Amino acid sequence: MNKIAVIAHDNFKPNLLEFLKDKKSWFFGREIVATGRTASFLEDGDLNLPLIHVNKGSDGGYLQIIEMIKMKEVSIVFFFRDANIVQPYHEDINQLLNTCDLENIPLSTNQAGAELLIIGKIRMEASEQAQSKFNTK
Amino acid sequence: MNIAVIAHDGTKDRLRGFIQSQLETFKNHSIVCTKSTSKIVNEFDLKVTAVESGPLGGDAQIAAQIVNNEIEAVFFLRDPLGKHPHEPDINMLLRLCDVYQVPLATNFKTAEILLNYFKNL
Repeated sequence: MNKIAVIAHDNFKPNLLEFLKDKKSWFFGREIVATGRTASFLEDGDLNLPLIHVNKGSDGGYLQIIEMIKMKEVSIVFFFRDANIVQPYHEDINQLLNTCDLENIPLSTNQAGAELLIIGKIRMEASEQAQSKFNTK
Repeated sequence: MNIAVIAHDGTKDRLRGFIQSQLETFKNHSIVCTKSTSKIVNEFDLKVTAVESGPLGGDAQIAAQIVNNEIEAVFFLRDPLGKHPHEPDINMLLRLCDVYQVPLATNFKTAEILLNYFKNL
């Protein structure tokens, strides 16, 4: 099973926590990787899902996730991005988005998109399951 | 639903195949495109409105529609390897999607999954 990458800027960390709690049954049993401070925030908020920590964004956390994407280890990226801030490592963020597009990896940069991606993903998985059951009969 | 569809030159060929494979879903929605993208979308029997092409401000026009809450989702199939004179407009469009919480797909896989949501609407 491939990893799911989750990243949230400070203003949206509570939203990401709620989002993950809300969809916990879907996330359960999947490997989740988070940048340092996002991971700590989620653990402090009693998410109770095992998380793989990489560095915080300012210490190259985005670059670590980019490497994982290039190694085909990541199946989806949820990035709750605050469009009203600019960070010194802005270039890392752009590179993350570009890598997702080059590798054709599902990516949402906001919560609205993330909600729909999950619903779409659940529907796809359900129809794939139904298909494979049908094929084995 | 109003869906904005924009494809850069490097992704336009793939867009044709993508629309073909998702035609039934696209038929249920109105599509807003930049001018040169609309030429591809118009090959199919779909409801299409075209704005200017990207370098002439089409991305900015679509961004304005986002601000006016006229767009429910954006499929921006960009070519991250291409260089674009209107790069600031592109970034503005991406940024406003996040400010106004509009679902945004910047690649085909994301677009495909999002369309599963739009299938029965």
